[in-house]
Amino acid sequence: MASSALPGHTRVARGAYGRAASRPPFRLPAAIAVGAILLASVLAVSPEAEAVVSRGPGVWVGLLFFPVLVGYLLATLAGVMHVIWLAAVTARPGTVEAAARPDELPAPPHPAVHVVAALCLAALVALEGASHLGENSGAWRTSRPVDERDNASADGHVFFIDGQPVQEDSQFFIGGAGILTGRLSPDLYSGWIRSGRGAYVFLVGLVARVTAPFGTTYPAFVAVNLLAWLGATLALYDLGRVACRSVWGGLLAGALTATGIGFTFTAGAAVANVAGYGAVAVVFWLMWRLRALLPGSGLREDLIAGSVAGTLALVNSLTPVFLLFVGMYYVGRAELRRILTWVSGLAVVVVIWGRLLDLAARGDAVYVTVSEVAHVLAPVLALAVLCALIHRAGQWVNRVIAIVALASLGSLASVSWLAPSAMQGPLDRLYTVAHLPEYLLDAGGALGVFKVLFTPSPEAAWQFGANVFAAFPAGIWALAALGAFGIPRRWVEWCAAAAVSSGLVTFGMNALSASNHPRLMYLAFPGVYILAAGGLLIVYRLVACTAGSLWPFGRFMPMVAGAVVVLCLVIATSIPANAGLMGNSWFDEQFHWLSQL
Amino acid sequence: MDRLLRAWIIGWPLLGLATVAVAHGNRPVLWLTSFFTVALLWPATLAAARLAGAGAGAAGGAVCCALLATHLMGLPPAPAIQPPQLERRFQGQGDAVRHTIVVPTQSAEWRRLWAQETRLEAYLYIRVAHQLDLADPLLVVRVRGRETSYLSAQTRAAGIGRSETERDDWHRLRIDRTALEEATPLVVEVAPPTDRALGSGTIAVFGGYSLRATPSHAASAYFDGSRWTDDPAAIFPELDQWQAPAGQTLRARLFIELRLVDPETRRFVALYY
Repeated sequence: MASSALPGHTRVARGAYGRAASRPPFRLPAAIAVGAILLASVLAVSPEAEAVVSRGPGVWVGLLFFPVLVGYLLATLAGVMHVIWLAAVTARPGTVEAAARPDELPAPPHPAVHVVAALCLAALVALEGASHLGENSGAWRTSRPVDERDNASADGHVFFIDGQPVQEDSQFFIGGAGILTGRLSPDLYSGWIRSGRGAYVFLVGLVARVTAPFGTTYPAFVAVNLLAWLGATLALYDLGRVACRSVWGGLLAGALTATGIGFTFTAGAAVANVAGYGAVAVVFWLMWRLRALLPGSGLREDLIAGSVAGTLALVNSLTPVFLLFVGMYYVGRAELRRILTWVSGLAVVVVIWGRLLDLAARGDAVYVTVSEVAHVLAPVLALAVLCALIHRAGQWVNRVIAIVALASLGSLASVSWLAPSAMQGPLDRLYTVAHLPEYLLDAGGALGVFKVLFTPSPEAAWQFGANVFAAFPAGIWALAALGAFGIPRRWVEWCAAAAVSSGLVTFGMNALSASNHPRLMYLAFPGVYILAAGGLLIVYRLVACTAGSLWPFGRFMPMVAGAVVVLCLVIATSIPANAGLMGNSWFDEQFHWLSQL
Repeated sequence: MDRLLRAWIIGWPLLGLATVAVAHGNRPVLWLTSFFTVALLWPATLAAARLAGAGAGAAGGAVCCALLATHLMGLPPAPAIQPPQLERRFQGQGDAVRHTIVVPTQSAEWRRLWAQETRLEAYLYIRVAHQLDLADPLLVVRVRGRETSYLSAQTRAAGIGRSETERDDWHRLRIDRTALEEATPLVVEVAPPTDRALGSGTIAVFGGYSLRATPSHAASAYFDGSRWTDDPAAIFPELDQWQAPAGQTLRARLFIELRLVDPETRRFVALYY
């Protein structure tokens, strides 16, 4: 019987990542257990439960996602508090994982393999991108009137640029690009032209003169979208290759990204979604590639990763996603002082952007006072002092950070408990500084989100599950669940942290705006697609083993197994992403509006 | 050579910032562009150098510098934006507007739609605004020259908005399949009532950029009391504020549409204009 191992795939013995007694708890089983208890108790006491669960058997699976999200958050919070407590009391550096060692990479293939893989993935992105522009854009197509309640014209909620119909939200980004190219005044930056999306329109402005021969502004938006999509695809290729310890795993993760519905849906619109997905993948990849925060790297890597994360957070208000991801994955694996450096690097960039916007909105660029310049640059000075202090000093800094963190968290919890209204002002200020959607500031604020998060109604739980399935159809989740058994535990936790951080942001946004956001849930794609790639490799091995024993010609086995994997890939992502081109907009409608659920 | 590359990787933002300063002068966008040059482009090239070697970082720096140098070419082209919404206000009783829809009765899609078990409902949708002191718009609608109906409170289908002085709604009129499948195109004419005196500009029919009108020629027209014109600029006076796509003329159409509704789901199954 032929081997079921893929070419280029290196088997690593189980346990290679060690079983250090001090490793962080495995959060997924804990999250599922806590989630199941939470769900059962809510269903038992809530009068809404009967109405929700009567919607059908599929609702049950969707219902489970929300309690698992909360369970994962609770398990992580417990782990984080444990680590910080240990650092404060025993002066440990804030890491409990002894095996924070580099990943065991597969045997390096010939460099030409990477080139061929990159070219194939680029071709796939170009093909999918070109077929979803203009009138084929799912974002515009699904904005056309669906039923009698809709008040749009036959061309939908539309904005026309260069004769192309784009979804009407594009007008705000075209306004933003006007500011970043000097055509409009920066004092227009408010409300729907969100300051948290400045990096996207900067990139559009950067390429606008190069793409000018192909139109006015629309080609520049398309170029940035496609480049971001390609960046995400190549990042997932590299991450998937390491997580699955197989070039094929990387190629599958890249192919899932190149045919993902989040990208195909908005690639043809002048909105920041695709660039935001690309930013998330690139930041996660860069942190892993630079080994930021981990042994083997230093201050320079932490600061580069932090500042790039801070600036790319300004592509689509991504600051919460990055902070949650680092909080969930790196606390316990990285020294507290290095995490503080990374967070400070991110925060400085975000704060300076806000101050520069204020300065720019004032008018003249040249006639600024010394105090204005000092105000803008003060965060840089503070960062330099902080870096000097915490990196010149010894390990005791971790203890100071842990004590301060515990005191801050204790104060925060006490005030939230005793006088929650006192938190509203500072939280709103934090929200503004982070360049999150300003128009939601009056919608209840962060306290309301926490309240709903820990006392979920079945309706809220079901709605969240619907968002999850709209962003990633059931086939992807089946593969991802399978993949959790095929990749190292460290990477399962990496994927879970990536997915949960996006899930929390989605839920928060849903709660604040009282509407669904599958497009935010799609920010989880790095975690979900790497798990799904692992699942596809397991499918390959299962089919190869089965076919190898049944098939009369064993030498055809790899082709049969490969064909099954391709079929799974097509069913899981290609059909949902491309069904709209063939006249069936069901998946696109789910992604846009959740109108059919 | 390696030192030179490293010096370039460290120092290229200075050249980039100088270029941007020359290009933007005293414009406040100078701050914003400089910020992203230092906070995004520079760290990206540093990361490239760290991961793929000094050559990659230097090349990245050169590309960024070249892109920033394009700012010296002046502002990028202004976006050519077409109007998502226009309006034609009736000036008097002699005014009228007309829209022609070529119903694709011979197409396979049309046959497929009507072959379904559920009998589709067809409606003419017309978007109208009128001042609040008028209870109803009371516009007269004629299909192929035959008077069909008045637009009134009973024909309202979906509200768009309401100001202190005016309301804006979609109105709809049922139309049967046989009328749709007559040999000639569906010509819909909308005019103020002749039996009531209306103030100038109290009623408007909306329109917008024409993406995919069913007739090959101009679909919409306006009658000013003496002659019909299908010149979009004459139909919509504010059209000159918008730009045409490169190499094209600016098309516009009235929001008069034919919509087919599935009677069970109440969803639109086809829309034509």
